[in-house]
Amino acid sequence: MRYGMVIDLDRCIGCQTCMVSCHIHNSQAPGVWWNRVFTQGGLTHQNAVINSKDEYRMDYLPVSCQMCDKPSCQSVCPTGATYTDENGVVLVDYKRCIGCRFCMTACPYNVRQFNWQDAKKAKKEYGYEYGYPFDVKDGKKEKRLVYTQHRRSGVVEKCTFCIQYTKDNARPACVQACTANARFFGDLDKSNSEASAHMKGKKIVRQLLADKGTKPKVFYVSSKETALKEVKE
Amino acid sequence: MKKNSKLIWVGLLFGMVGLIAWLYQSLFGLASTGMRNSFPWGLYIACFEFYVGAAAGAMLVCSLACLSGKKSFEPVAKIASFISLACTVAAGIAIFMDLGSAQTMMRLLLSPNLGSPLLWDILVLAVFLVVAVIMVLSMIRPQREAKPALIMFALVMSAVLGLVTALLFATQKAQPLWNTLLFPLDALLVGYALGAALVILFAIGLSKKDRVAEQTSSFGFLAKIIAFCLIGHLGLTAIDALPLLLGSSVENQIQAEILFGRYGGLFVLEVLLLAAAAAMFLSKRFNQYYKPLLLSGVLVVLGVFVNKILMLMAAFNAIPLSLEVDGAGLWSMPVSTGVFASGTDSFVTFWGYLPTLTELGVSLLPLSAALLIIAGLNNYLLKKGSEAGSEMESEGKPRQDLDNKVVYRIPRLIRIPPNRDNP
Ligand code: SF4
Ligand code: SF4
Repeated sequence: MRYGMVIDLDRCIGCQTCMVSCHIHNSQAPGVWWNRVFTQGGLTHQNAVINSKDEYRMDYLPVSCQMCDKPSCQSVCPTGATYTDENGVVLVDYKRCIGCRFCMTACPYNVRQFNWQDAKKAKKEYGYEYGYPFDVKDGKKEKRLVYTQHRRSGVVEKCTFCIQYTKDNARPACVQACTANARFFGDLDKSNSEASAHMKGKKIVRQLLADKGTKPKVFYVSSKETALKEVKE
Repeated sequence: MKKNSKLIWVGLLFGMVGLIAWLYQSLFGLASTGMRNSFPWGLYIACFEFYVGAAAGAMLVCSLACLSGKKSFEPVAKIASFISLACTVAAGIAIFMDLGSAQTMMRLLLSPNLGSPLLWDILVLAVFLVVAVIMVLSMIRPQREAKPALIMFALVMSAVLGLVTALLFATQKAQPLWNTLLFPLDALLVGYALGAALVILFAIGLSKKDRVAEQTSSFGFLAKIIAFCLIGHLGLTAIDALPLLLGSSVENQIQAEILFGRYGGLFVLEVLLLAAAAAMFLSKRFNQYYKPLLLSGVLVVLGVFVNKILMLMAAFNAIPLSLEVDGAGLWSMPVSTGVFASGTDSFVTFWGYLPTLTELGVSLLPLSAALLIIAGLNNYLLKKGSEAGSEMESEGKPRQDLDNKVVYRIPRLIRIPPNRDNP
């Protein structure tokens, strides 16, 4: 099994609902964002760009962990805290992470987030109390702590494809919350999974920074050239 | 007050300030530093690289001085071995200060990932530390002289340490500024220049003025090493800069904008400092006299420090996920900072990193360790009255065991320029 995600840029309206639902469901501290959506070229979000043909253009780019098949974050991690589970999901074991942040410098997508401060305290300070409340452990021999509501200060975190939900065969929060049904999740090895099926027949299917050799399992699709015009093949 | 005791007092003071700052950082987390998600490595890693380079460079000097078999090189070999050990310890402390979860450090032993360049670097640093300790022991205990094989091994390790540390950076595809073939060689040359410059600075700083003249032959040799390394570094910098200036890819454009635009001033400063130092070390008018040598050494230290910090500033601010958007030009995907601060944006495309007071304070800790080790070892020699101590700060004691000491006469790698007197 290789879990992956497909994001349809024809559908994305840049509402950032996926971003917020990810933030809340995964109990991220203020300032920590596993998922970001911005307007390509816009000075600020939802700011249109006038292209060389004098046309208005507003294309969005949602970016979270690309769940690389060759994750550069994992190969540099000195303690093996970052690893790939049996479903192809790249995870961080919060018990093993020593907070060296080597993975952050190695990930070309800037999706890794560090707990610069105590997350629980930071959330309390702003009156937030949210997120999936139970710990999630992975692995048969050694139990790896891959989700906990309040990550301790000094560890790295990132998107887990919502391990707390997908372990029970539910879909990640961003996929469930997307107002435009632009996100598709599933087993890339199965041609009839939601994700694989949505890629079929699409004119353009791209991965971000494909030249970095990370082999992402997040695919961006579009039926028109504009939305992915500047993303290298 | 003797120079050596001054150094010890400074080291103790720095150590106390560093310890307080480190306790504060441990209490409030790394949010008390100027680093954020888009800029995950800062002053501590710059210090780490700085000390590693210095340790490797000092070890090069120490082993070459031993191999030369020249008695006049002995004081320099001694101080070089002290600096090498001191900087190795300082590098280890610097990286420890940088860890977010130092309490889980045992994980490095319990579940090591052998594919990680960081693990390799830590292993090499550990081996290097052992070599440095043995070299120091052989320097302070005349009856236990280093065997030629050990000296050769130390020489090789100086290159291995420099290169393996550089590979931490050079193997990262996400950071095109570091991910070049020349990066490891460049880092090695910079480290060698730095180590040799520190040897000169400490050798002069810990000597009595009238004794400096006795060491000018070895300084002439060190000056050549430094000038050669700096010229090599400046050449490699030019070669690496070419694609940034001429290339048209988005990656090249972003990097050029950051390195020559936003940080153009720092870049020019680094080149000027190191070019001036290279010229002074090459010139006979400067390289054999006390004050010009000190000044040139200081220029190297400053220039290398700018090099190390600029390397981080320029790399992290060139966000890899950038597009050249039709109608909007170069656009980078905003990155979240990881810390919420009201009134400021949580997403940035540029982080003007500046170390905070806490960070500056914490960085005094490795520096204090280095100073205390150098001063402590020198003190030990002074107390024993053996020749290096008397060379460094003698009270006019006879250097009786210098002449009947067995010195190595393996290959004569070094030609000694004639001694000149102090002006
Ligand atoms: S996107 Fe970054 S964090 Fe996610 S798997 Fe790839 S390299 Fe690792
Ligand atoms: S910060 Fe944690 S997850 Fe990242 S490389 Fe270091 S130990 Fe691994």
